[in-house]
Amino acid sequence: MDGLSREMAAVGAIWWRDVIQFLRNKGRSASHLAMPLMWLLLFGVGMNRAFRPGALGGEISYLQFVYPGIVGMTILFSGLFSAFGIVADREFGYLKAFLVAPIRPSSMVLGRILSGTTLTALQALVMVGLAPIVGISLSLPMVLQLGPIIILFAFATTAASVALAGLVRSHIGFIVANQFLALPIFFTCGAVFPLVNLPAWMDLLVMINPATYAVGALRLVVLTTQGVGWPVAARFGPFLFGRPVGLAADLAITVGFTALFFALAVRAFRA
Amino acid sequence: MVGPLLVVKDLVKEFGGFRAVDGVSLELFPGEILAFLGPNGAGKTTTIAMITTLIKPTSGAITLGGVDVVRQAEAAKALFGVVFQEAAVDRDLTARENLWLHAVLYGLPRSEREERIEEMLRLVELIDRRDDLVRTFSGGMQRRLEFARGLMTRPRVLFLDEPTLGLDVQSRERIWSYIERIRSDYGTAFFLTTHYLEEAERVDRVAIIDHGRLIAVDTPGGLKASHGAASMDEVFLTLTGHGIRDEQLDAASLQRVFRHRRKQ
Repeated sequence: MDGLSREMAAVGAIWWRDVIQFLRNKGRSASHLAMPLMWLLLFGVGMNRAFRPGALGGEISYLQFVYPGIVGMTILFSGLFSAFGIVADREFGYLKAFLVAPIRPSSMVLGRILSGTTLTALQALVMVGLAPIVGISLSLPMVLQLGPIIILFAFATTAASVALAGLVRSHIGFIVANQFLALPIFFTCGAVFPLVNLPAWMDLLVMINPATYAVGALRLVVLTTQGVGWPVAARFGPFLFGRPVGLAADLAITVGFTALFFALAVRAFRA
Repeated sequence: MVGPLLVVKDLVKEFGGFRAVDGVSLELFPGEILAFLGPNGAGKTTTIAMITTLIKPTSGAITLGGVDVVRQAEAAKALFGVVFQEAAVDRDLTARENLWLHAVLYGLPRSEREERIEEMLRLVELIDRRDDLVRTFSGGMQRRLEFARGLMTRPRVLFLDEPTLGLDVQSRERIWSYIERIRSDYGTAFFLTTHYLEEAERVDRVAIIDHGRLIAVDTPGGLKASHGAASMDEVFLTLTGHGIRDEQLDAASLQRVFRHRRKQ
């Protein structure tokens, strides 16, 4: 086999191994797929009760506002944790079997990112299917636009996770780093509250937060496909230079962060 | 006379100020079985980690089959196999799936994969268990599967880090029968570490390392004769003394080595 097809076969085999492990572990796959339903019901419905109708200006309900945020949160938490398998492999001594194999470090990293992306995106897509539960009507345009954004954001968070797995020494370190990172990122990405009237220091955190723009993109798609007009849909942020960020800019920035995390992930595993 | 397959020259590895490997030079010939011995923390694992591209040497040269291991790591990786101290098979896959994954990673052509997997599973007598998850295997069976995994790609040299550690006499005997059979069938060289010194009696040459330096390289017979010793145990104790060593570089601290490497 020539070089490239060989590397691609290796990427595919590494992807396959992670997916087959996931499918074989029934408890893990069941809880993975049940999680979206739980988030939607507990988080979405619960929070909706806490907000007065009209708290967001009257045109949209809190559920409509927070639904894309919960989708983003699911991807963030799930993706950021998805490289745990690498940490476990290292502790069992299995990672070395990959490191001495005659493949490029980037192939190993890409295989792991793609498997993490698959499982993370799957969870978010289940959530899209469950949208009617929280009163979001499913439409083809919404699904077609959400799909690529979900896959892109899942790839970004998984790549960040792989980079993190390359930096920490133990599974404890990985878990601690995950918790330390995931919550601040979650609370400053606009998933649960509009990014308006925030103190300046928090505005800065929002602006440098890679998840901000992906959640912004998810929200714009959900709201506009629900018939909410652009000025209202864009009113919750994010903002750059005092203006709401549009879908194209949200995606461009997310692609930029994704490339950065991928480069960091490859760097972390290069000999 | 055939030239050496592996040439290690003036190999040095420093961690901070500490020289874990301090100028090791060594040759391994095609089809040769070499036992690499030394007390815990003597530099064995670090040396093997450098030869197998896991860590970069501070200085020195390693060539395998004419390939510069340090600079052309990927080309070199295709020429050797490794069986590590820790279990390096996936317990959630079947025996066949483990070998399949490895075959793909090593670029074995699709047409040859199935046949080679069968052949290897037959060799290590696991053919009847091919579709069972590895987590149902005993320690000896897992070791045999790792052995099959390491040999499947027909490496010119197989590195074995304590291949018989923790195995019963029957399993150890079986591993040794595979080593001897593979050597005579394919001319594969073996570079192995062991703490069972009676196993060092059956190899072609023994290299003993202590405090990061090679202190003896000879045939088992030659070593015993020159030290007036009856067994390899005696040779070993004469050369390395009776004190107990602190483990300087156990498996867990190898992870720190990886971190160290990345910072360079």
